[in-house]
Amino acid sequence: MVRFYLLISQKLVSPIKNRRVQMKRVIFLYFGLWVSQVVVLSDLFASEATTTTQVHAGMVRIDGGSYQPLYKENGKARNVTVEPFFLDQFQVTNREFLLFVEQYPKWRANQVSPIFADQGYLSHLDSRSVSKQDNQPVTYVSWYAAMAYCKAQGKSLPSTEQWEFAAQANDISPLGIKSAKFKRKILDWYAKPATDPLPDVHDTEVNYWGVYGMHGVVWEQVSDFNSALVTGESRGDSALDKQLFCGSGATQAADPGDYAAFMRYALRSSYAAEYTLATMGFRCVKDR
Amino acid sequence: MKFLRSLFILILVFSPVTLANQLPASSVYHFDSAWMNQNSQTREIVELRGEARLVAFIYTYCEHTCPLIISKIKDVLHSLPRDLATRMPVTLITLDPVRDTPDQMKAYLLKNSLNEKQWEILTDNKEDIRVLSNLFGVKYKAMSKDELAHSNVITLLDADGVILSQLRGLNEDKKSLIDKIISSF
Repeated sequence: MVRFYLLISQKLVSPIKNRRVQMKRVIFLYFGLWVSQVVVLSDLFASEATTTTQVHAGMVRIDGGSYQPLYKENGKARNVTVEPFFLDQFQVTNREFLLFVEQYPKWRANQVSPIFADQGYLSHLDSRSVSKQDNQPVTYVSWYAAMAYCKAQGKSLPSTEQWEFAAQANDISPLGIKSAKFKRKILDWYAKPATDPLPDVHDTEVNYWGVYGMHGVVWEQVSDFNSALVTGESRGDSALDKQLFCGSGATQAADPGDYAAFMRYALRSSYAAEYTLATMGFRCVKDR
Repeated sequence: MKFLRSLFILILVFSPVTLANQLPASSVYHFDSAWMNQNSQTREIVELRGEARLVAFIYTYCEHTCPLIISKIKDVLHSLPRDLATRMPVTLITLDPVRDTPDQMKAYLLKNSLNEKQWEILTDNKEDIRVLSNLFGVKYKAMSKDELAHSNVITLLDADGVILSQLRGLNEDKKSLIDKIISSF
């Protein structure tokens, strides 16, 4: 584009020899302007099209890619393809969740059905002043409530694969998890006592994708946590538990060094959808 | 005084009705959701209310354990008194809403000679199926294109959607489930 304009301007400033050449130049100039307009306009249209379909406020696009789940299948490490998706930059905050609860009274602490949340549900919000906690990640929320919140926003909870894929990134690489230093850092975060007050969601580490606080703030809900088939039901009601028993756990793992992934896996497999924990929050995704 | 007495009588007359309309706290029918059956008819979950029923999660192209779940349910039904055996509604929930279309579900019922008056298969979006599976304590995971690992659980719901009994695992003794069914009618 720029080169094209230079060419035109050079032609224009050079001395005009006769009328015919002058006419030629004017026609050439008009033609050039027309071409450049078409190019600029089509550029504009193209960028508009991409912005309307691909940007969601407060979310970032996670390019898809290949992800190796923690557990092998039939003794072989396997790769799962994760399609591109959009992930909330921040965890859902107390303030955001309270707005939802106001709109959907069946999710209020005093109205929620006991099959959807245990007694701890939102119990942190009546004991201390809410304003200080406004921007902290919401906790004491059951999986059912988190699912309902995301649904109300036209979103859903991330799948285990989506969450784990996005969580592999450190600040400089989508595959930061390959670095031993980053693994160590995550473990140090996990070792922090859970009694520390939670930070505001904006005051947390940001990763390669622009997602904040994936590690070291709270555990996060996934839509399919009950696909972790380590169960107490060892009498044959799950087809898979032989592979997933603790004893064979480390030998079956694709990366036995990824302790943090083990911890998340263990939490998910022992979790039930009505539990509310002081250290469990969530964020939502959109597939498109 | 007379007014108060008639008011009292009114309350006495109407309160059982309102009590009956309110779902018990632990009813799975609290989960507001609209499902679709093998005839593409919409089934609000509360429509399942009114009769005790057996519920199990399956997928129709399942080759390993699903046929076993179906035969276990048939086995349980055969052990019931004759009128109950042919009347007890059975609701199957698909775990694969992508492949199990209503047509596919209908074909499955036909293929396994499951009478539509008694047997029904329901589908919905994947999120709602996740929620329902959690309400029944069922775990599942897609293993490959053609296989889905899942808990084998047969659940008895009472007329209000409260879980009365569960057969967890196919080797479990069916007796306690059968006793519960008989005593719930």
